[in-house]
Amino acid sequence: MSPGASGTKSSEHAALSLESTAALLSRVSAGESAAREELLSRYLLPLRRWAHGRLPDIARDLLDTDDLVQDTLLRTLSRLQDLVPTGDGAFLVYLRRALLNRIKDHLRRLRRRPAREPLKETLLDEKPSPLEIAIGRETLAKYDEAMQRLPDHQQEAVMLRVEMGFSYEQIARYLGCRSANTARMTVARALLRLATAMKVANGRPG
Amino acid sequence: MEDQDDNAALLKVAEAVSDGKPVDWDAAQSRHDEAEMDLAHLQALESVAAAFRSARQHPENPDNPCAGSLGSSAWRSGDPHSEEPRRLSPDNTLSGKRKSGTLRAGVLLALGLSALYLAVRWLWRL
Repeated sequence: MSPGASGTKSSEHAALSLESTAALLSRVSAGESAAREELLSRYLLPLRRWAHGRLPDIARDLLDTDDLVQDTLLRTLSRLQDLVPTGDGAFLVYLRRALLNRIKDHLRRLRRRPAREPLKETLLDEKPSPLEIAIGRETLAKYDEAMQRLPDHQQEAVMLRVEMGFSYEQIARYLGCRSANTARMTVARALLRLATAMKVANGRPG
Repeated sequence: MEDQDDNAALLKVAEAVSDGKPVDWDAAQSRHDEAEMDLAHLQALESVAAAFRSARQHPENPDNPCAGSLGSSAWRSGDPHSEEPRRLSPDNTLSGKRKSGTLRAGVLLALGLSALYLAVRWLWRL
């Protein structure tokens, strides 16, 4: 490849990296492979980190989390038109649900499979994920339930900031906001709405 | 007017939660009695946000600089966009076949050489 061609390609990638997720998704739907690559590079690693927090250590030994995430992401991208409803934030919200369901399925299957190592299976039943250890199974379940009550674009904002740890600059770019400050306000409003949706049963948590 | 002030104050608290900044919950509660439930929920979210942050630092997580077995060092830096993710390419799936093909060729060559050696010895005896 000539240096000129390589330069064109990298400038194309740089331009794509500035596009919002919604814009990239419509390019992917139109069959642009560069946009698909950009989406993969944008979300694959953060989603892997996210999935690691959702799985108990013992389950991570028994299944390949990275493959699970990659497979879900690729499958979603290849069936974009059938699977993802239109609207801001729908893509990440869909991915989050798909990943949570696949993680649950895998954990169920691991528990059911013939006992080659009974000790590990017992541990699998009892051992919580790093997130459950930190905040408790019940609180995490309430949070997940409340997340589903938010509109897609607010779920996406919380997911990008709280769950994946993106900066406001990145969130502004991905959501198509005017500035990092707008992204900050979007996340704060989404968190307020999420707080209302959580309905913590016993008042202030200890 | 008071409602708007309350809302602005709660938004400030939500921003602090989002940024992982410490919040003086008792002071916030005493200032905004009527928003007690909202503050309680935000406090629950503070712990959720902290848990997600700490999960990203989990020893097994590719984000963690101390992670041992997961991926190359390029996968372990803090900014998800400072590095290229592993691309899917035919090489990923071919590398294994290439290794076993090389091994199979080596075994066949050794067998062939042994047969040749035995044939030469047999001829030499005649």
